[in-house]
Order: sequence, then structure tokens, then C-alpha cells
Amino acid sequence: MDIVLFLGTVLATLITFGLFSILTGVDNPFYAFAEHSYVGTAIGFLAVITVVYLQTKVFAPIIADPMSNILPLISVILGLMMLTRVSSKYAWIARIPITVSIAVGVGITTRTGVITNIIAQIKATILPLWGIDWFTTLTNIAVIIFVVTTLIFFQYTTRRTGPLGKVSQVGRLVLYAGFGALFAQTFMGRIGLFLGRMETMLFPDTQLQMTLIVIAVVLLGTYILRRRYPDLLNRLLPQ
Amino acid sequence: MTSVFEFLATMDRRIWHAFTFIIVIVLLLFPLGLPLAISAETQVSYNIVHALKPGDIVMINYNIAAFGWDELKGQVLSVVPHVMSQPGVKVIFLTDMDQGMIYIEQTLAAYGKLMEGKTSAPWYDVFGKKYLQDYVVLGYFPGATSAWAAMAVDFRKGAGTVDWYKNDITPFYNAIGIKTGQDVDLAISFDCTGGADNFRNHFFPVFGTPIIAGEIGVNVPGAINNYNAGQYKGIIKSTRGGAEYQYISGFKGKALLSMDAYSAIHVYLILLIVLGNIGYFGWERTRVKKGGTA
Repeated sequence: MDIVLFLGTVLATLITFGLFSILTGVDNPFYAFAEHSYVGTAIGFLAVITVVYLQTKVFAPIIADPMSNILPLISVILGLMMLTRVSSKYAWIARIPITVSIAVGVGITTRTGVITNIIAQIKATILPLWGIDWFTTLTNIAVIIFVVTTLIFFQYTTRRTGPLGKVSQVGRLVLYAGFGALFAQTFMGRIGLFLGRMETMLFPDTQLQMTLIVIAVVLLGTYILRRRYPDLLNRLLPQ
Repeated sequence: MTSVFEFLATMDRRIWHAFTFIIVIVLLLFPLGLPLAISAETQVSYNIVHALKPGDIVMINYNIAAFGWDELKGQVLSVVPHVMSQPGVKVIFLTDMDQGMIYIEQTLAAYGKLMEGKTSAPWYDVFGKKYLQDYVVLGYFPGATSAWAAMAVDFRKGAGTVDWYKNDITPFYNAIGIKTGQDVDLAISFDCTGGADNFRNHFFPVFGTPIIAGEIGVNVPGAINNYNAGQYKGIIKSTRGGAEYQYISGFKGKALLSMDAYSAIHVYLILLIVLGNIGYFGWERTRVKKGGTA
């Protein structure tokens, strides 16, 4: 195996199980190393890739033909103006690009957001109740009831008593069911993530051996540090 | 009975974590081969990709970072080769997340072989598709909303005329005849945070571009709303969707292998919820009612 690849694999395995080591309930240096490495690497990578983007997609066209690239040039100037926030004297200049950025963002988003997030979603709840199979009819009735009762739950202008209160109670139950589904999907996703990582850690056989060694090192290391050298453990943790 | 309830309510959670690891490791190493049902949404997604015709243009967005790759790789490594193996289809790869480029290159390397005389990415021949002739990698676009809106109106201005590797891609644009978002026949987005929304907000309302959203589990409830509203033509849900797509497309991988562990862990969670509630109602709640503390 290529030495760089080997070291990379060792590091990846160590970071993976370093992160999982928090499940032992003991704050340990493996976890701290993994957490800080991940955050540091992600930020470093973002910085590098953004510079490459600016080089490739912004500066190169401007340098090649400035007259045809007035808008990118203006965006670069606006971007540089944002940096004036570091000076208390000139921080006000940064308000201009922030205003432009927010205005453009809001303009672009609302242009189609009304159609996609409001009108299309309302249309999706206006459903046929006859002329279709019985199961779809039942489903459509349920969707309509759930939408209406949930909306009633969120009306606060009058006291929800009597029939309105009962309908509102149904809306609350629908919300519980919705949150339950959301939790279940979140769990499903996290398990998917865990399984995906474990696949990488268990195959092929050489990786499996490395995984077993790293698990043993992390668990034993944490155990020994905690039992025998608590002072060293404290010193190895970030303050 | 009280002692059983107390045992369930106070059991060290590390034991449950350890069991999770053991179940996953054992079932990944020794899968049982449980049957896998294909969901309608995955089947629809497959049918859309399979129906692509020569000359169709497909945009594939990698809204992927390290924190979601392990969940999405099953679907990425089956949908992308499926698209790339469709004859005559032209493909545009791009990403709205900085780490997306890592995974675009990884995917192309997984299925492609280096073109003659080339030594590194992106010069891969993937199922007969050659770089700059049949597909391009536009690279990373920060500020995705503005970038996608600009591409929808004028693709060449919005995306630029050079790829991520500084190659001039004007001949590619001319060959495939792309001018605006209207020329895109299918948009696919693998999402950690909601990249498909860029297509849904800027391509779909104006051009009716069909969208397939490959989502991590957390995003699925929101994606289902958009699917039911007709804004997504297909969705692929988390690792499970990836495994389904691997099965029907024939690009089989490890997501399929992990489905036994996936099912077992879900049963295990239900069991834990039941046991936890028995412990709570049988011991902890009674104790609090009697004047103890939770």
C-alpha cells in the first residue's frame, strides 16, 4: 500500500472512532483531536476552494476582458467593501454591500418563492374526493382534514373553546404525528450515515483489521488515561 | 417488578450504544439477505433517468459535504453511472458546497478510466462519455441562489465559459446548444442541505424542468411535500433510497449490503422505545409522583 494512502487511512479511522469515542461518556483527547481536526480542515478547505473559485470564475475573466466583465468587477468591489468591517472608522462602508446582498437575495427568492413555497403547496392540498379509487379518496380526505385542523391550531386571535377547541386538539395531534415522522426520518438518516461510515471502516479486510486495532487503542487509551492518569487526561483536553 | 422497571429506566446507555455497534458490525459482515421493497418514488426516479434520450442535457448538483457523503454515496454511486451510461446524454456537473468537488471527482474516478494521454481528473472516459465532449465539471458556486438564478436566465453568463480546471467550455456549450435553463432536460441534486431547492426555485417555475432530489434523511419530510406538490418528479430517500436504486439500476454497491443492518437497527430502536417507556411509566414516573426527583 502507498504510504500516503496508508497514513490517510489510519488517520481517517482514528478520527472516525475518535468522534464515536464520546459515546463512552468520557471526554477524551481522541475526541478532542478528531473534533478540532474536522472543523479546522473544513474551514481550511473552504478558504482554499473559495480562492480557487475567485481565481477561475471571477478574476481570470476580469483580467482577460475587463470591459465585458463590469458586473463581476462591481461584485469584487462590493466584496472588498465588506472587509471594511474590521475597521471601526470605516465599518459603515460594509453596510452598502450587505444591503445590496440582502436586496438581491430577497428579490431573487421572492420572485419564485411565492409560486413554489406558497401557491404550489396550497394547490397540493386542493385534492379530488371522488372519481378516484377509495384508498386515494381516504388519503385525500385525511390530507384536507389534517391541513385544516393544523391551521386552526395556529390561530390565536380568538379563544379556542367549544368545537374550535376540539378541532384545535386534533390539529395538535396531527402536529405530534408530524414531529414523530420528522424524528423518525432524522433517525433513519443518522443511521444511514452511521452505516455508510461503518461500511467504509469494515471493508476490505485490511481496513477491518485497522478498524479493530484503532477501536482497541481508543477504548484502552481512554480507559487507562481515566483510571491511571486523570491529571494527564485533563491536560490533554482543550480548556 | 419494581426492580425490573428500575433496571430498564436506569440502565447505562453505553450498553445500548455498544449493542448498536455490535448489531451493525455483525450484520454488515454477515448479511442475512432480507427482501427489499422498492418505493414508488425511487422507481419513478429510475424511470425518468432510464427514459433520457440522446441529446438530452442533465445537470447534476452535488450539494454534498463530508457530514452527508456516507449517507448519500449509495445513491450517488448508482444514479450517476446510470445517467452516464445513457447513450448520447450530455451531463453538466456542478456543486453549491465547497466539499462537493471532492465527491464529483471521486464519483468520476470510481466509474471512469483516464482518457488517453491524460493523467488526472477530470479527464475520464465514463461509460464512453468523454470529458469536454459529453460532460463537463463546472465546479463550485458559492451563493447558490444567485448563481442558479443567473444560470436559468443565461447559462453561459451565469456559469461562466471556463470549467473548474480552467478549460474553455464554449465549444461544449455550442455543441449541446445550451442557452438558458429551458435547455436543461433533467436536474438532479444530491442534497445535504437543500440544493434541489435551487432548481425548484429558479428552473422549475419558469421552465418546468423535471427534478430528482436525492436527500439525506433529515430533508426527506420536506422533500415529500415538494414531491406531492409535483415540484420534484422523483425523490431518493437516504441510504434506503440508494439501496433501492442500486438494486433496480444494477449498479450494485454496499448500500444494498447494509439494508439488513438498517432494518435490524430500526427494530432495535422500536424495542428501545418500548423498553424505555415501560421503565419510565413503571418506575421513574411513579417515583416522581411519590415525591422523588426525576
